[in-house]
Amino acid sequence: MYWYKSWCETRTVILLGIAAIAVACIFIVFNQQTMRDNASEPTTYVALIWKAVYDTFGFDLFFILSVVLGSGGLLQEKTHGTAGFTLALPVSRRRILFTRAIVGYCGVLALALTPAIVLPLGSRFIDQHYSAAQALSFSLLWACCGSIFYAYTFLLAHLTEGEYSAILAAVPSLMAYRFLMAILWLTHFPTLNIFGIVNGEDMPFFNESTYLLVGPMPWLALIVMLFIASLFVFLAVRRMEPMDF
Amino acid sequence: MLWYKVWRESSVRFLVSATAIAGVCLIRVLFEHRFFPDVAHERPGVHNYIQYLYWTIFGAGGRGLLQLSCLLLGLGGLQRDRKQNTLGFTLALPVSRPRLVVTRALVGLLQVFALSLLPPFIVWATSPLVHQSMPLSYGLNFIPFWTIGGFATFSVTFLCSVLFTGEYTALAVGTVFYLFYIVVCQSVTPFRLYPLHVAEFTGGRLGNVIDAHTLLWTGNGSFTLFAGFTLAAITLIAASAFITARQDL
Repeated sequence: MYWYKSWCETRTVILLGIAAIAVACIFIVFNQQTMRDNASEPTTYVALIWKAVYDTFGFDLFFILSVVLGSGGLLQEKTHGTAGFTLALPVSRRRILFTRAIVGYCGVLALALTPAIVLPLGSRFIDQHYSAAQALSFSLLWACCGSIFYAYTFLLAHLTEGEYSAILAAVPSLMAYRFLMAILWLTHFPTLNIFGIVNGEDMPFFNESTYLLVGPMPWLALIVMLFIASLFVFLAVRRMEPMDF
Repeated sequence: MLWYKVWRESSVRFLVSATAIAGVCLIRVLFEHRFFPDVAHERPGVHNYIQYLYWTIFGAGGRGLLQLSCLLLGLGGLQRDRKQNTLGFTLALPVSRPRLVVTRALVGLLQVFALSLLPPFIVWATSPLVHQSMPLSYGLNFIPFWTIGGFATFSVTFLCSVLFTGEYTALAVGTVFYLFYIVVCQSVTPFRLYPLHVAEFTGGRLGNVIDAHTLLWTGNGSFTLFAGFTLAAITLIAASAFITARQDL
């Protein structure tokens, strides 16, 4: 029952997000020649896909939608005056939050998988080739890094009460994190940079001349990300359990 | 009174946005020695401090944050009141619905203007701390571009907040639409040929008002561009007012 409630609350953003990323991929694939012609330097098809889907436009969509999916929750329901109805359901707060977190993360997974389906299929229609294995590997990176974006906003949404405040706090703080990664001694540890891992930029497992993932995936970093994301959700649950509504 | 109500509803968003934009400006200026090599590597045309500021604040990074802030500031309105069960109180006020919409739009315009004021003054005041300088007039010239470009961006989610009832649907639809619009203006031939790209306008790159290589102001007029983007924003706000006046809430 609560799974269905969570789905009803998030389905518009999830379905809109899947459609938006799919349309973005199709648009890029079918418009690739014009985009390559307009590029400042000669660009291969694979390079264009990386730049347009995994580095800029597609990633921007994925990032924003992951953050939006992480917003909402019991504190926002409190603002709307509907928290009482949710809390009256015969389930614990822990279960309410975990269910919502899992449904939302399934949405993030669906968003991450969309390019892996659309890009290889779409490429065939224009007599180009984009490896399904490459697309799936990038989807794996998106899914793991997206879990951090999602869970971090999820935590913020259960710390701050105001509408949109979780999004407003999440985006600048993630930008600040990106800046910190560039200026502190942390630059010596590139695997700490989620924004580098998510598209492979400056990473040893990514070839910047072919724009392909070449080396072994950063499994440890990806597992740590999923662990941190779980920790964020757990902290959100701990914050909500004793709260007086 | 109505102005104060609108301000109270959006003050958190505005203050967080202002803090974020100010923070980006400060970080980019104070850590210029750390960022400059990376920026120069990414953009081969960057050779001096002004060009660095353009690609990190006025024409790219800071401008992106302004656009996001504008998209968030555009949210709210009667649909949100309905969600929060406060619609009755708002509609009970002795003012017409179009006036409610117009007041919200005007407060939004003032907020965008206030956000536009931040980068020129912060960058101008803090640059000497890192033994650099930027003429204040260089930054001040961006204010009308950021204000009008930001207001046009604001009006996109403003209309979405009138059309969509879902809590975060307006934001998701507005942002997705905006990103698509930007990409279409960048890469689809009939649109690419016309000055429709609001992000480039905000950064001063439409109509050759900023030299593409030196990134300094050329002195070229841009009245048509200002008029076009202002008209687009007013049209979206007017559509919002028209729809709100007839909505069954």
